[in-house]
Amino acid sequence: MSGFSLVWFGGIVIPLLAIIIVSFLQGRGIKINFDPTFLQYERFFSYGGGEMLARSVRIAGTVTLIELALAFPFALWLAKGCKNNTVRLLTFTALTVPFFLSPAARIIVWRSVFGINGVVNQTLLGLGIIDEPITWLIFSEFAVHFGFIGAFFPTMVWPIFLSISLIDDDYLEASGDLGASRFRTFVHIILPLALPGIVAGFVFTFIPMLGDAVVSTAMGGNNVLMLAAQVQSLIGVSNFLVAAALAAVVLAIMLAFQILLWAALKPVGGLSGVFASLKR
Amino acid sequence: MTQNSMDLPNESLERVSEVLSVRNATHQFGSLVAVDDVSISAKRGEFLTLLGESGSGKTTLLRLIAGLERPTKIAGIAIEGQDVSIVPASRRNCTTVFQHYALFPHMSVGQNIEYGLRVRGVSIAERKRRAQEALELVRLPDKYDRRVHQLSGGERQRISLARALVTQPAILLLDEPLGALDEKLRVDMQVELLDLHKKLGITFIYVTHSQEEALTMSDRIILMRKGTIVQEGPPTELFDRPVNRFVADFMGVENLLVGTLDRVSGDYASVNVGDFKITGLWSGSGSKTSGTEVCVAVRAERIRLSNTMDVANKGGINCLPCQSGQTIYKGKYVDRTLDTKIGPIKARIWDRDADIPDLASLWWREDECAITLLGSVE
Amino acid sequence: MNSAPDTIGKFRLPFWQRIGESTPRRISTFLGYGVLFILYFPIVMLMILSFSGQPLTGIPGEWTITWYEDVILADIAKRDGEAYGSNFRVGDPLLLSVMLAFITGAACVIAVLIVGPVLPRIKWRGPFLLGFLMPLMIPGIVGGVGLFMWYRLVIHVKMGIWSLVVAHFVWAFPFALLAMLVVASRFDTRLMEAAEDLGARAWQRFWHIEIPILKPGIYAAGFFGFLLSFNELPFSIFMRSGQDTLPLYLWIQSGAHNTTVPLIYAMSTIVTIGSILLTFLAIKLAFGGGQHDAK
Repeated sequence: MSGFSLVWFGGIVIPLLAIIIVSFLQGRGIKINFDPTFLQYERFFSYGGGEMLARSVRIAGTVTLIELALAFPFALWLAKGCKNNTVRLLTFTALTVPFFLSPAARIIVWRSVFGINGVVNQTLLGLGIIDEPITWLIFSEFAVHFGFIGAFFPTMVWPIFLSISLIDDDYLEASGDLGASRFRTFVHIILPLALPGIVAGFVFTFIPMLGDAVVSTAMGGNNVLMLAAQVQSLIGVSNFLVAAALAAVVLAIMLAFQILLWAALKPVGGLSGVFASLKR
Repeated sequence: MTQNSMDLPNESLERVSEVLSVRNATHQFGSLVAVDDVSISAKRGEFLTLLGESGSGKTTLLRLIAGLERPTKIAGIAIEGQDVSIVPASRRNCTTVFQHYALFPHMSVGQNIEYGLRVRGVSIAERKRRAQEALELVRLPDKYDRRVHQLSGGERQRISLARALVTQPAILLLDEPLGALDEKLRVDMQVELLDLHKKLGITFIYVTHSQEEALTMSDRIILMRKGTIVQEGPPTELFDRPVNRFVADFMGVENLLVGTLDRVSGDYASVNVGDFKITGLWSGSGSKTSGTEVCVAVRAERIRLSNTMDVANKGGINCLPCQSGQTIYKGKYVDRTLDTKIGPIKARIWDRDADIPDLASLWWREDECAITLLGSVE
Repeated sequence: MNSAPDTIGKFRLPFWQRIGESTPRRISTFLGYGVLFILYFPIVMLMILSFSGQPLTGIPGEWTITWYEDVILADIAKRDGEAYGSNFRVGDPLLLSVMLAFITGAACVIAVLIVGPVLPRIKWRGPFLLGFLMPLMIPGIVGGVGLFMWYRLVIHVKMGIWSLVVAHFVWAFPFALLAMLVVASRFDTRLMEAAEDLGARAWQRFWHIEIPILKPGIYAAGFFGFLLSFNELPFSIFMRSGQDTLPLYLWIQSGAHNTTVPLIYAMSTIVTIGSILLTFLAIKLAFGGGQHDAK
């Protein structure tokens, strides 16, 4: 166990965090000069990186909030309201399978569907609703939002669902017994107990979204430039250090949110608490 | 015992008959001392009970014997005369019946029972035969192929027993095995365990916190408290002659009066409790000097009621004037609290006809109460 | 959908048991399943279009399996050194992906057996768990960049097959670990004591008791490892060397806006169906065995 941990932490955790260090370095191509500098960050912002950063956070944030709004009621229903076991099982499966499919395969069809010659446009044209094909369906912010929503729904539903299922029905009964109205039970009992799940869902959705390059390039193309995708192209031109800066920025945001997660889990005993409730 | 020229056979006979010897065992969990310099021994075929409340160290001691814990400090531990202090649990010739059975959920009943034989390399046919025998021993002959989760609590307990017995250990360790069963089942199982013990002749070392269980089943009881042995002996000894107040209290004596020792003559001791002089059998260990604080222990069943004080004149009787207090109906008997000048006394009346109008006094026989030490109060 | 009544005489069921029967419920389920529809639409559409004559238009119809034929033929043709209409060689990437997937799956099982049973019992389990789950929190591109930079630039080791193995393992391990932890945290350690007490030595305890009880976790870990590795894209983009994995290959091809798109659809469909089937199998093996009561 200790051997493995050593390898893991040394070989993986440290490298992942090392981006931050690298981003402060300078050099050309593959040669690295180990003098710290803000040079890469300057380059990043002069690239229009600030705008990209803002856009990425904005889009990811918006979509995550939308996901929260959609996933929470659904998770609540699934955990407490749905009694039919078959429906539950099928829904679980539906929420699990996408994790194991190729991200690309899940997305590329939209291009055909939303494209100028795609189904949507053809139908609308055929029905006479529009005169010209709609161009903003694909390779636009709309498309990026749309792509994200479907892809990241399960990651938001699962944590919320789990934390709500762990709420003992006894608590809800007691609350009603003591005279609380449905709304108050919701606010005082369900919401606080579901909070760890909500935060976890937020983190597991927002962060990967921020770090995603597949959906954003597939749906946004070159019209919607997002951080993570840019990292990819920078690496492609061997501009490693600016890429590192970019990645470091993303990483910093991610770490900030992870600290949030840790803080939110603390009231319920942290991750060990999650284990304990798994034992039930 | 006469000396004969052949000392060796006597010695080896003794060695063989002493199936367990633990000398000066101490075990700590961090700063908590669970077992404090304890020495015990057990004879072959004995039913020995380790009795105590939780935290007394009884379970820890059991685990030390089993080998599941390595003692922090120990002078020696031997099973069947062989030193086992460095022998791991898997090689010691004793098995344990756990409180929560610890049956392997992924194996059938039969496979569970066979497991001890399987890891010893016994052949499949032989294992099956002996497992079936064990099943019959615990009266569940047709459960061989069942899964564990299909069994009731009592059945699981017996399977657990069968599993531990099939390897024919020298010592069977039982860690509060009946704790998880309900009342009726528990009582039935006690009888079954006793039967098994008699039939097999194996040494049983039994851990429990129930003094009733201990009294029912044991040849010898070791009462433990906070890691040390308070008293050990046959059940009657702990029941009738507790060595101090803690033991008396633990063994269920309802009336414990504190007084000062007047004097001890022969088996009897006389005590001053308030204005009264009470005489009883001396059972304390240690100081018999006048003036020591002692405890009078008399069981509620021994208290008799009278409508006069005349009884006091008879020899060998302790008598106190009293008034009636609370009465609680318990079906088989009635618990009455009588108020006296030296405090409330509980009496247990089995015969309903013995309810006396004009209650004046209560009394009990001198040889039915014990005078014992106070002991430490921590 | 309306099974039990929510009022019996004057008695009304508490609202959380009535969640099923009201408007809020209808809205939330509608929305929820709506999003799931959005999620699955392209997947299903992908499969339909892969059998269609004009997949690029997004309109199904003109049923044909020519794309599938092309996929196979193109690969065979290139193998034989012949020219073929499209430059779509799927055989090598497929082989690489399968190989990597097996390695990753095996590695996950081993790693999870080392870490899984121990983790719930040690003192520093919080921080350790966080460390092990880190790839979940530093996903795809960023993670890939990080690993790439470290190994390539700081330690100066060239990329190769090994780097893909590392990348895939890093990606899959957290999931495998989580799956195993669900099983391992319920593992009753007293069973191991009982086994020892009965005479079992360490390897016997591991083999007879620990492994069989942890079996669902082992299956889950193996399958997760395999599937996640097979379909992995973001990390692979960075940690690759000359050879491409299948998802990588398809991704590059799809970015190339040319006539191979229908072939991509076909291949992706094959992969998707295979993955779905394997996922079902994994879930069945891992969680279908029924829960044994450890007491």
